Amino acid sequence: MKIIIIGAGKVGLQIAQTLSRENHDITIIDKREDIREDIDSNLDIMTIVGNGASVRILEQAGIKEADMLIAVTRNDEVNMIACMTAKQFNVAKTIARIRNSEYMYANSISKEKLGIDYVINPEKATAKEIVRLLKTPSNICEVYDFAEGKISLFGLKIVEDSNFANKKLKEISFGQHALMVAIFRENNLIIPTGNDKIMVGDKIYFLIKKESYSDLELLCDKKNGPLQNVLIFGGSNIGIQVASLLNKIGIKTKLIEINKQKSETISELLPQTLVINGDGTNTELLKEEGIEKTDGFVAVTGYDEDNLLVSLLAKHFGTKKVIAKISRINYIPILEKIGIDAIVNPRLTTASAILRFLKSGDLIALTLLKEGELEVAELIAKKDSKIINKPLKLTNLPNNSIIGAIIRDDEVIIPGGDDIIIEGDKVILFTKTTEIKKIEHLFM
Amino acid sequence: MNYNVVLHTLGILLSFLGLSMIFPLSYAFYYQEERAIYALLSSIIITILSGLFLRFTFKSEGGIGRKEGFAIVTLGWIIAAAFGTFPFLFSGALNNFIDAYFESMSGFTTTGATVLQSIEDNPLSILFWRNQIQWMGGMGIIMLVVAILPTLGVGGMQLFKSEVPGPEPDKLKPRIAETAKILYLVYITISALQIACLYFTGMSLYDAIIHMFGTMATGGFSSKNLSVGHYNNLTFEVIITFFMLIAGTNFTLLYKVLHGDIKSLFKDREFIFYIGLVFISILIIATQLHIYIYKSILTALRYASFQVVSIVTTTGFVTIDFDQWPALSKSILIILMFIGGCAGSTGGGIKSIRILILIKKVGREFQKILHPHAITPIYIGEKRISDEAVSTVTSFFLLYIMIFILGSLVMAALGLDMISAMTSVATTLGNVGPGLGLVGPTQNFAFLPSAGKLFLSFCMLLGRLEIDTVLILLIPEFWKK
Repeated sequence: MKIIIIGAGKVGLQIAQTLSRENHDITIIDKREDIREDIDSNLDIMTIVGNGASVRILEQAGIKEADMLIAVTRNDEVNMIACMTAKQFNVAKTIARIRNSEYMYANSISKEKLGIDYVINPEKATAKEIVRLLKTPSNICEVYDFAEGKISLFGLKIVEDSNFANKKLKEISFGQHALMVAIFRENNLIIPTGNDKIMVGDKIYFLIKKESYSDLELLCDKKNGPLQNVLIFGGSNIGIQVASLLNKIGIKTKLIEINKQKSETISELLPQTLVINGDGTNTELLKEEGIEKTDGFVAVTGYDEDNLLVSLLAKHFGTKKVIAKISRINYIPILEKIGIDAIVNPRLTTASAILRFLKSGDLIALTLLKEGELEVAELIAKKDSKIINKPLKLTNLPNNSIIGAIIRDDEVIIPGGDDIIIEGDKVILFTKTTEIKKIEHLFM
Repeated sequence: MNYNVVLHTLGILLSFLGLSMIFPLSYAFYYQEERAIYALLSSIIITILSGLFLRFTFKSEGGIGRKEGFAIVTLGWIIAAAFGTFPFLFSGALNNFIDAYFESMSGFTTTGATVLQSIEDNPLSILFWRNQIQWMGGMGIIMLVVAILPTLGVGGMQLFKSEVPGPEPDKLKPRIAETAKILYLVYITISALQIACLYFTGMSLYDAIIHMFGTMATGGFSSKNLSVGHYNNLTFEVIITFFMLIAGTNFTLLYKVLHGDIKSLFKDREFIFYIGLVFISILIIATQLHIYIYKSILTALRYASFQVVSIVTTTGFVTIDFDQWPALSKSILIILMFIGGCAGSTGGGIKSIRILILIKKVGREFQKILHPHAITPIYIGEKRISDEAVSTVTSFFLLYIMIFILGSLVMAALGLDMISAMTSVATTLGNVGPGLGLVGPTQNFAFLPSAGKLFLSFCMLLGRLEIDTVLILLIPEFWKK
């Protein structure tokens, strides 16, 4: 496919990298001239310097032959105009990142008229992810749904008092409904076998069927009861959306915001939330607001450093589940080691959501894990796919890959080596990003 | 520096080089040149086996970064020229390695300077090889690998940048392998067109192919002692002049023209500058030749235009001994040797675009004196040239001239007279072919001492890979792990 991406920020580059590895032809447009050399030496894509909303530049980028346009610049208006222009050139799919929710409020302008097929609001997507994380047991730091929610993938950090620590896999009973698919140790991906041992500091991923979510509590941390109240640090858009989502499901929320005027506006927006005007980095204030008895803590100010340090503080005071928003991707690998339960990054969330949308009508849907190193692919087995009609142990699945689940007519199967994929099955598969081409080949 | 991936890629390059020797081999069978058959067969075996050995001994783990890119391109050319000598040596066309290396490097770099005393005495298949390597070197031997092996990915871009002449090579398509393929396709299409033109106007097929190789690569090797002058045929000269002009044009531009966008040709400032330069030079030289040598203005025009185009595109075909021309005409030819063709063409020299940028930069300096606070960006057409790019161009020019001066000193130290020493360096550095004096159009380079031949081979490599790519390898820090 020929894909034009506008905006070579982190989201744009992440998408470009993933798609270009899958053999799509990518052209990226950005205003900044100095990034060109960098991109050229890292990615096999075309770079054009210029304004992505200008017809001249778009023509130069080959908009006439493009199949898709993804507009992810900082500027909402540029993204919208680029999509509108693309539709005039009959580009099949257009995606825009729009931050300002006012534009999308009550569908004031219809998406069809704007020519945008898919709008992604990073703040909304991040807020949803935070809420999803809050709802799961406390040591779970990543959750993804697959097959319309029939099956979910959980990422779990192994701490010292964990049930799993220092056990061999075959000693742990996952039951019929769950499968351990990957272990991340020191940034290496291990596709586990029965003899692998789980160590403290590992991050493990397992798949679990929806009907057995109750088992999940058994597998994970029993100590914590259900979530009842959440303290939100920072009245950013994400903070406001998290609060409103939590209010809807009946969880009590408090929100700390430093700016008086903003606090007042928020309290009007969120009548059910207790809005506190004060400095969230002040321990006295945190104690006063009962941080020691809070179940969940969410740090979503605009400052990475504040989010991190106050999160650590909350953990120190005994909050059960602490989630921090971090903008700088480079920090993430070390952050998981220092005790924060989960990290959310709006950019990775956005890139992941866009990729999932791109692939939704297609053969394959993707989710990126571990800063894009690991991919979870949802593929459909076709009539002449090489992988069908033979036991899984006989297929040449590349190393570093594992089939996590097979969905056949609404039934979810966690497969073993003797199971067989048949035509029409939906397969959920885990693989290193570098192997995705080989996988696609198997399903072609 | 990742040595494994460098050696692995060089292995692939050698395998391709070995395979390409099949074309001269089929000619050897066709003409039943027994000695050449054995020579080519053994060359093929040695080259392919060495290639496979490197390829399978060293694993291509880790990608090709900037450093690996430079190393692969420069070493690739040095090694390809070395293996390219085998057909000359084994067939007895040349019996000493240094001579053969000079000939082979002169071929790959599309220079066209020769050490063969009498060209026509050699087996036709070996002469075919001699010109085929020009054609491959013209568009680039590494580019061929990039076009055929799409797996190089980002690494391909590093190789592309290091091999394609000009300040900032353009990508035509998002994928570098696609870009390389398209450029080769344009190259092959125009080449086929030229063979057809020459063949249907009466040249033998073999001669047509040989001269196409020399023209399209702006190389200048001929199968005749007297070069194109041998035929004394105006039609051939016109055809070759036309195709030399094309070969000296940016192939990205040619691709657009072949796709029907003819307007872009006349919008391109570099092309206008290049064509303008050709016409003005022809006009001056023809006028002078008419006054001093030829009575007929048409004869003057004929020789002047062929020679001007041949030199400015750095081809080096000869129809007349221009060493006998008056001083002004000779001086213009020498200046043209330095300027060369367009960026992204098969031509050598400094390249028109760089000269254009330098002229604008000088103009800007004067404007700065008049208006010290003026903001004066440099534009080429609609494209803004960043200050950084301007400074890269300036330093390239400086380096080019410095190497020319130092090189002339080296050649003078080896015993050449001033004109011969200077033009021998200018002609090899610019990948032209003939110089003046002892290395003039009717002479050859055989008389030079071995040191001189090796040094000039190095100059050819510097000129073809545009200096930086080669010189960076001489810095010890480059090789650190």
